[in-house]
This record gives sequence, C-alpha cells and structure tokens, in this order.
Amino acid sequence: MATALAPTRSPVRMTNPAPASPGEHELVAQAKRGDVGAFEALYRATSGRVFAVCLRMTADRERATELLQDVFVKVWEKLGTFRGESAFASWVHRMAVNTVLENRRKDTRRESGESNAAIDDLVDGNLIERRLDLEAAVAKLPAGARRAFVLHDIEGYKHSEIARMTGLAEGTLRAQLHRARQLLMEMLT
Amino acid sequence: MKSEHLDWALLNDYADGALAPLSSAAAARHLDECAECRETLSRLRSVMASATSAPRSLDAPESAWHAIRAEIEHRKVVALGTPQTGGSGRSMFRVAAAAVVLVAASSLATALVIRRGDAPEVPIASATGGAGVQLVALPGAMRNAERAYLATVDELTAALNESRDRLAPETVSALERSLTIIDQAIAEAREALLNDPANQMVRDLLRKGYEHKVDLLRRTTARFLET
Repeated sequence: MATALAPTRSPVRMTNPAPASPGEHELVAQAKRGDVGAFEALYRATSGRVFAVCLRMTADRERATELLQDVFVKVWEKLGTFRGESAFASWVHRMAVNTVLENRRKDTRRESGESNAAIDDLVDGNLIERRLDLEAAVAKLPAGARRAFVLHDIEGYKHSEIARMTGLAEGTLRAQLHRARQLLMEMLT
Repeated sequence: MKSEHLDWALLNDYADGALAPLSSAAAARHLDECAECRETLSRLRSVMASATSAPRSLDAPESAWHAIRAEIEHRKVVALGTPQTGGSGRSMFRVAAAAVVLVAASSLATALVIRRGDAPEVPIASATGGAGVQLVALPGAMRNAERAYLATVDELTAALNESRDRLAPETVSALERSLTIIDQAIAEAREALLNDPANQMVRDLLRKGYEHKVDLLRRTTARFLET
C-alpha cells in the first residue's frame, strides 16, 4: 500500500509537523501502558478532525462513525509504533486518511454506481436547491471528485501526495479536482 | 487566448499557482481583458476559499467513544484471558465440557426463540443476571429477541462465574469493565428504542450491543478453556 504523507500545501490546512508536546507525550505513554483514560483524552483531542475527514470523504454519517471507530481501534492497537517524531494528531490523521482510502478501495463498485447517479443528477439539473452550504454540496459530489476536493482543497495534500496514497495518476486526480470545483461552483455560487 | 475564454483546467491551474511563469502571465493578460473569465475566476476562488475556511474538526457522535472503549476493553480482556492457576485436568475438562454444551445450547435456544418467536413469558428481570432491575418490555419482535440474548448472556455469565476463581484478577477486572461499558451502550440504545420503536438504526445498535456482549463472553470463555 502506498504511504500517506502529512498535508504540506496550505498553511491553514497543514497538520502541525512538530513533535508531540510534553503533555501529549505523557498521555501517549500512559495509553501505551493500557490506560484507557489517557487514551480517551487523546481521542477527545483528535477525534473531531478524524471525524471531519471520514464524514467528508464518505458523505455518510453512519459509515463515517464506523470508520472513526475503526481508526481509533487501529490507533490503540498501533500505539506501540508511535515514536513521537511527529505530532500525535498528525500520526492519527494519516491513519485516518489511509483507513478511509482502504475502505474506498473495497467499495469501488458501489462507489462507481453512486458517482454515476450523482453526475446524472447534476447534469440533468435535478438539484432542487442550487445554494447549499459547503458540507451538503461536498456530500453531493461524485466519490472520486469528493475525494480529490477533500484531500486537496480542504485537507491541503498535494496532488503528488494524493497520488501516492491512492495509486491514481496525478492527471486523473487533477481532473477530478477540477470537476469537483466546477460542480461546487454551480451549487454554491 | 485573445478571443476565446480560458480553458477550465488552465483557469484552475492559474488559481492554484501551478502555471509556468509565461503561461501565467498570458492568462493574466487575458483576464485583464475578459470580464467573463474574471467572473468565473472569482466564483472559482470563492469555492476554494470556502474549502480553506471549512472547519477542520466536526463533532463526532458521543456514542462512537463508547463503542471504541468497549472494543479496546474487549481486546484487553482477550489478550489477558489466561487462567490464574492451572487447576486439575479433570476439573478443567469438566468446565470445558460444560461450557461447550452451554454455548451450543444457548445458540440453539437463541436461534429457536428468534425463529419461532414464541418464547415462554419469562420475566425479563429474571434474565438479567440478577441485576434486580425490572426492564420495561421492548415492543414487538425485539422483545423475544432480547429474551433470547439475555438467556444466553445469563448462561455464559454463570459458566464464567463458576470458573471465576481460576481467572487472573486483572482479567476479571477488565472483563467487568467491558461488560459495564457494553451494558451502558445497550441501556442507551434500549431507551432510544422505547422512545422511537420504529427506528431501524437504533434496533441495529441494540442488536449489535447484545451481540457484542455475547461475543465477549463467548470469546473469554473460549480463551479460558484453550489454556
């Protein structure tokens, strides 16, 4: 599997690349020793960002909640491999993006069907509401376009990084991003 | 470029700052002259700004943490699930045989009750493992399914209690913590279902809660018997 990288493009979106803070370091150490209370504190600090990427990538609240759970169970299982070279939140975020992308690969056939339906809706002009808030509009994007938009424009990953994570060509991702922006522009402006 | 509008991909690359200097300068010259392209670029940048200003964090459902905690406590139990002392071979065999029969019987009973839907009218309170709490009966088909789950839970709990002194204290402690958390999740789903009996998602949550509890008890029993 391709290795996920921390977002590096937008300063606003960029994950803090600094090493774990002393308080965080202590919580991680406690969690590694099996302290669920410490792990809960880490969860409380990072789950919102993980849930955001899960929800935006899946456009399905129930599935996003399941993925959130999968991510943090994985985090618990892999705590021993976290060495504090990056911020804990960055490490968790990378795991979340990889988990969502793995899930997406498993659902390729279903995703393809959804994409076609979403495109048909837009092409046919069947959208009841033309002005939607960003979250609702992103949820209506075809899956591939949604992935490109969320990872590039919201999370701040470069095309080359997304290409490594997904195994897709940069040109494909660029086209998906442009498609996403076009559809969003029609829905939002 | 003079007479035609900028290509959409080119406009995106311009907005991203991804064009080579000469191409970027040419696009800028066109934009100076073309109000329509300027308007399109403005709308595109508005979308990009929305993305940049979107909240990085969204509130996760509180129920997610309960599920995560139950799962990791579950894994801790399975990892710790070793007997404190060996016990005699004959005794171990007796417990093993009893538990295997019990699990098989419980599964059969569960399957029969769920399939036939004609479970005897056992008071639910008596099937809660002596908790002494009288539960409000669930509506419709969920009532019989719950009785079956509770009967299975009671039988597995009894089997584990019989062997409790053979389990390591930390195993018992971790198991009890997990069961408490799962019970909390079940109670929350149960309350939600009583308020909204037709809600399929809540029904599924309740069913998963019971399945989780039965699975935890079964896996702990099985792990204990393996060693």
